[in-house]
Amino acid sequence: MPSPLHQQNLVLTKFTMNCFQALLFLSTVVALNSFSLAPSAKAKTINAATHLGTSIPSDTIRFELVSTLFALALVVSPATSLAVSGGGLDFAGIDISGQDFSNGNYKGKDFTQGKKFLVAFLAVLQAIFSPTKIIVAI
Amino acid sequence: MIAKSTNFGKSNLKGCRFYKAYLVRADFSGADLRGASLEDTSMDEALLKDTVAVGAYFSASIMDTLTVENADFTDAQFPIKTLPLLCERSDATGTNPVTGVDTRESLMCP
Repeated sequence: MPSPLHQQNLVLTKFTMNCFQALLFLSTVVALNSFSLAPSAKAKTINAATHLGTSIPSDTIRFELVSTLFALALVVSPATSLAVSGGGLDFAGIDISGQDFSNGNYKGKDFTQGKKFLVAFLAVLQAIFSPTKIIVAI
Repeated sequence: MIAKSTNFGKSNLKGCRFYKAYLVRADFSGADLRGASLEDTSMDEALLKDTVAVGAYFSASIMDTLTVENADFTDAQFPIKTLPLLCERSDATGTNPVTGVDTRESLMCP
């Protein structure tokens, strides 16, 4: 396989993995803030309820719960929207000058010019903000 | 995609999309381009010898190719003004070794 293709796929893979790692970290932080392993312990969050010694409003708990579910849905749910139907965009927008693609099977592949990165960017956005995940979170 | 002097010889390129691709001096000799889309490409000195381009889509840039000898263009789509010019080319001759179709007949040349 051509080396530029591998390099670009590697960059995209690393970017995707970094996104999911960031989301995992965020979901962990939100989960730790929402649920305490020691319920009898005093709440560590600093807010008006803590200072006044009153209980945490139910709206706050609901917000934290929905946030946790939303973050978990982003991390756990499969990124099916990253898949591209058909031949794929393996060669779109890249430079394969002088390389040997003879005697190969490239049926249905996309060799178009100038849209690979745009499509990849839109695919990542779609994976993060897909309606299904938002509905699951809510 | 930029594919200057890239060798696609005898490759299976069925249904591939080359829209706006830079195919200068690319070698498609013996390649299977059935249903492929090659609109708005740059095909200066590209080689289409023995190519099976049945049902493929071309733009006027096909006139810039080095040779279309033995190519099969059955049901291929060309700009209206390009087809007569393609028939006038001296290299638009021969018979495709895979399909057995005459190049000029596939272009419906008079």
